[in-house]
Amino acid sequence: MSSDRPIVFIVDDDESMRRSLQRLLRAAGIDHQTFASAQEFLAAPLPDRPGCLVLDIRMPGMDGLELQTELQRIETPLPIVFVTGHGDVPMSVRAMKAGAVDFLLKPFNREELLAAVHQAVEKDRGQRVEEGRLAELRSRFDSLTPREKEVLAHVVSGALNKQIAYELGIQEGTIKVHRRQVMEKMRAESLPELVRMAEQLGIEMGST
Amino acid sequence: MTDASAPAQAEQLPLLESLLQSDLGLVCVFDRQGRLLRWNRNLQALFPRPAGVGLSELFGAEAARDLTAEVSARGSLVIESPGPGAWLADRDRRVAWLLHQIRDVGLTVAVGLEEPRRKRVEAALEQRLRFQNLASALSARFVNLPARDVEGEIAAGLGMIGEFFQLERCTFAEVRPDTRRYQPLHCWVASREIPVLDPDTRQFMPMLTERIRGGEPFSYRGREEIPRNWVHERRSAEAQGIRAALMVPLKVGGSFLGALLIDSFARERDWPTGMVEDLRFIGGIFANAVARRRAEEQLAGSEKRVRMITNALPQLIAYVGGDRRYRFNNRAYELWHRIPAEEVHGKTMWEVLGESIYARVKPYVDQALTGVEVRYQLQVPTGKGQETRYIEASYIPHLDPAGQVLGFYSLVQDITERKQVEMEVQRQRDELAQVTRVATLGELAASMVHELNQPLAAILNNAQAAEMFLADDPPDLAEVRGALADIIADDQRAGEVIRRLRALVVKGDHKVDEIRVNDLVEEVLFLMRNDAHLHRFTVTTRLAPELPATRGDPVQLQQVLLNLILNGFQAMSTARASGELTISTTRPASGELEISVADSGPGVAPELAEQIFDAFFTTKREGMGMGLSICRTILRAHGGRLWVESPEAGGAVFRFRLPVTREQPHVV
Repeated sequence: MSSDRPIVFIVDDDESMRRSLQRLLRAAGIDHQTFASAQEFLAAPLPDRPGCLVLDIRMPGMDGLELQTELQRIETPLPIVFVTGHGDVPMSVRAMKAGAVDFLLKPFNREELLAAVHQAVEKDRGQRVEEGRLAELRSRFDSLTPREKEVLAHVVSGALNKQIAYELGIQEGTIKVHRRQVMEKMRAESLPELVRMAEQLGIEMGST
Repeated sequence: MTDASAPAQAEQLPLLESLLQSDLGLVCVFDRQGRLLRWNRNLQALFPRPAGVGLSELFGAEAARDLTAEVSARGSLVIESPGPGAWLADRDRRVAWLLHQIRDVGLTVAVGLEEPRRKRVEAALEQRLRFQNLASALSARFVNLPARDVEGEIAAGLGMIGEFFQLERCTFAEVRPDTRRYQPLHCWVASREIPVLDPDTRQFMPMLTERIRGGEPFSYRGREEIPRNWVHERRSAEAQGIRAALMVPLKVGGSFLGALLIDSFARERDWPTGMVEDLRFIGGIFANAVARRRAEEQLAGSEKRVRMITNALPQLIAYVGGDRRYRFNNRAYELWHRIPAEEVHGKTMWEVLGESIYARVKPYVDQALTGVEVRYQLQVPTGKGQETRYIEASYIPHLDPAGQVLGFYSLVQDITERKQVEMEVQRQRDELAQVTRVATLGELAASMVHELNQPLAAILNNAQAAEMFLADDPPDLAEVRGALADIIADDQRAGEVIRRLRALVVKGDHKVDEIRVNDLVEEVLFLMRNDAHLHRFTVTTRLAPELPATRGDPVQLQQVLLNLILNGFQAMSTARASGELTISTTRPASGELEISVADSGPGVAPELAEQIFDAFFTTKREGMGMGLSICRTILRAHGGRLWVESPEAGGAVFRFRLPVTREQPHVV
């Protein structure tokens, strides 16, 4: 069951830090879950809600940056707000380049944290929306027949019907029919839209 | 009146009777008329018929004239007369008469003593008196005589006895120990004709020495009295023309020093016992003087030698008696105390050192005078005002054979330069230790920042949360209380970190304290924790339970452990495998504790195992190379040691041992 209320996942090995973050989020009325280590977090089932990670970097075992890499690997694009007592430029650059939402140095004030959390949650929301849309597109695409998929690929590459007919060795008229089917199934209103959809789906020009 | 009763009356006087019986001079009794009534044997010998002898025959015409009247008038009388009777022929003989009238009976007793005998007795008495005077005079001359004057006095003394005893030649000869050769030191002769013995000659008289060495003089009346086997002595006497001689040994205590040799050339002669004894007596005076002179010379010689050596030394060398007065001191005292060295002698210690310095050294002086050897150091002002110097003094008691303290030897040296160097070295060590501490601290900075940040950030979060809860309507006080409790706890955490940090940086007096090594390890690990996590090292501890405590400076020992752990981290960060650091505490022997730090790094090559403890040795690019050298110094100062081992399994193990002790270590 998914919900729209955001949830923040706190991962920090320092108990005192965890409690203070909990208290702060409680005061701000934000739901949260806490984990003492990256492993603990990875092992836990995540609720289907928009959220973000508030992540310490220096931890025994897997540290924050490694968790970031791991989450990317398993394609869990949860937005991360790094909070750390140790801040050097290379580390922060690395974190940000790898897609962190923010990199906060302890001690930070609540505005900083809550703003970052908000930003991260919004990003997650956005991501989720995007994901939904993409999933929809994917299902639409999956509903296409193989021939239709071929036609789609050629259409978005800018080829004329005549050229596509020649390429595929079928009648132009048949092409037109396929084209109409594709537009309908994909629910694209225009060719440019279809092209955008194709881009989003990662369909290469001229390929199936 | 002559009456028949007169002799009877005379008989009644016992004294008179005993006089008449005695051999004492001439005794007679005569009456008022001058008729001889009684006489003694001696008088009988002078007159064939004493009965008819008249007063004028006894006393001489002159004296006899008014004799009886005078005696009556005066009662006693002393007169002189020529020798009566048979003695008259001898002009030299005179008699001194004591006449005494016995009133009641009208008799006069006359006792006459022959002059020559009296003279002889008198002369003998006078002679004795003169000798006594001579001996006294000689003795007096030698008493308190400085050693250098002894020779002169002996020469003069020989002259005196030569004349007194009317000798021809008198020689004072010294015998060197273990030889029997006599060296004639002084020779007196009565006249120019008599040969003087040359002081450069040596007379070899072995038999004589044997004879007189025991103390008995030897003499001979004539040369034939010299024993036949005294070959040397006979030959010598012949050669010199000595007719008679007397040899008086000079002994002091058990030592045979020499002899007085009295020689007669003119004729053979006797040596009267009295004279020999007198000469022995005089000889004794000379011998004592010589013995004293020799002792003084020896003393002066050895004292001279001692002085020569001690004056060359810069130290203050002295001998102080039990009365705390200087008995000996070398020249250095002049330089230090600005008193001429000679004037120090006899002065008390407080007169020479001054009241304030004496007050400070008095306890040591007291101790030395109880027979205990003491040594101490002192800072003293010098005459120049500002300047102070450091001295080190040793007092060595001087005991007599019974163990009584007679005084003490004092040796004082100026150790200012040495002290200054010591202090400079100490100062540099402190600086270096401080620098190392700070350098180590720099390496920990990152960990420290993190250590402090955690509690600070948590405090801020809690405080801000509390604010928000308070702004609620109604305020959630339970949450606020919770927040405050957490704030307090975190603040204390931060404070602890600061305290540990501060302890590492503090320079200055090191306190010696009891140390439990397991606690030490825990404290250091507290500081190292984050560093370990950062590097992904595992730190394991194996702490033996119930270890005894040791004493030392906890800060310094923490420093050592910190250094070793950081080195371990450094070593392991170069290796590819994951780092494992193991810290163990054990008790390898009953008097020792051991802490070891084992890393899984590349290890230390055996040939470098000692070199790495040298100052300035480093393989790290930015390293100063001071760490291990200072660690070793710290361990040494604690009575322990530090070394490295390379176990077969790889890596390096640094071990250091500390004594389980009650003593205070000398803190570096």
